[in-house]
Amino acid sequence: MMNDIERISGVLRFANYFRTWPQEDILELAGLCQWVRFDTDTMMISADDPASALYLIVNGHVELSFKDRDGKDGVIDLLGNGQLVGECALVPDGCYAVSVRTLEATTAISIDGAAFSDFLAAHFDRALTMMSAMTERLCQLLRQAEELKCRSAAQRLGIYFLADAVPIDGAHETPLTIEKSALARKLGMTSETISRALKKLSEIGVSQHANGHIIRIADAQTLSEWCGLSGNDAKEGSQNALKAAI
Amino acid sequence: MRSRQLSDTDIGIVKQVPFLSALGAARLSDLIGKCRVEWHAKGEHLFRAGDVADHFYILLSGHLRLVKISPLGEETVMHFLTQPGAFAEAVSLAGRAYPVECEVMENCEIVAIPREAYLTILRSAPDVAGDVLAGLIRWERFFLEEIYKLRHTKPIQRIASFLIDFEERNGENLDGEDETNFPEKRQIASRIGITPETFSRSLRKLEATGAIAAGPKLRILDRAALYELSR
Repeated sequence: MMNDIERISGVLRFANYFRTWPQEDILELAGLCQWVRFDTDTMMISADDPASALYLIVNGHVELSFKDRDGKDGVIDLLGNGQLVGECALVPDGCYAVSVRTLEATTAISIDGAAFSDFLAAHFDRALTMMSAMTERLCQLLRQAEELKCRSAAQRLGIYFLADAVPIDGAHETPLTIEKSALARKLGMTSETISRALKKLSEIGVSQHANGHIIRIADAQTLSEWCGLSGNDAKEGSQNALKAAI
Repeated sequence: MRSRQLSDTDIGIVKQVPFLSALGAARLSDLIGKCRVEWHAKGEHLFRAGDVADHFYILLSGHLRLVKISPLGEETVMHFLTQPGAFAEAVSLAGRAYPVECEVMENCEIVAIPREAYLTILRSAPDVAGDVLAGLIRWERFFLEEIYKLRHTKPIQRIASFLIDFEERNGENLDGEDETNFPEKRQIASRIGITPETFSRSLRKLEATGAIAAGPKLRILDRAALYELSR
């Protein structure tokens, strides 16, 4: 029977952050981890609390919110399977920068921050891959900030649909796997703005089916151009890159 | 491009960068020996988006701006760098291409640190990796706050907040003037993600409160009132 370390290493080796690591390092890292399960609507980590662990989301969706200097907070992102949160735990005496709350029952792998930091100090090449993964995250945040500055709500929603679109019968379809309220929070919009954006998108061939669970795009090229994506953006924009951007 | 050796003052600034000071005096001295202070004139580019990030930089003096240019040629200011400190270390250490353009707004002096030289020294001091990660987390916080503001604050709040932050970071005026020299209005609008039209309307509202003077040159008149408007 598989023990916990084997099961955890089996998950870690498919995570973006660790997939280039050799098996012995994955096993060593797995020894610093444990399974954690959270009920829906549970605070996994709270901003400003001492950061003791990182969490790799294995199954579920979580909401990240940021608290400003005046104590006001607001949702800034929605993350799902394979995402890592709580990197501040790698820094001695670090505090979490964001709060993370589950939107549904969520399974995660927690990684002890201090022990992981020691591991990275002893494995320089692994530390470099972590730096690279964190830089990738910074570049995603940079793109998000750029999109928020430059594109309208309808354009950002259009890009979100394009990211998941698959060709079907001469058109493209996108399954909506999250509730519209959660989608609105992810995109930093109100539900009313989402409705207005959908109405606007309907003028360029975007329609809703199956009670809003399927979005059909009549002409992906036209939508792509309307959203301000260049030909290269559309070609190079993998699902993850497009989603990260908005 | 003019260049010179680092002075004691320059070395003092470099030592303020946590992931450099963590190398220890001997290793840092070795690294500094491979670097020079470069002088760049207004309008020059330190790097272009897409260039291989084979250096990261320490700004000693002057002002820079980081700009994203869309495939359609539209320009968005992502950040103004006006304080001494490190930048471009994340993309450089990760061996990626620069994601933005870096343009000189006011004549500047910088130290360009070769990525390979830093990594070679870092390999001999792997315990410093934590300090490097801490530096990356500092940038993550910057972007998280940026995205929070873009999603959850109104244009007037963003303008007030930008003016206060900019003045705080640039309190010491080197040109002898008493007032903070804010960037051009269109650049501020781009930096905080507001259309020029909304920016003009919001400035007029701010001026009506008596918090600022929005003439050809922006001035803060009532800091306390401006702070309240930023919240």
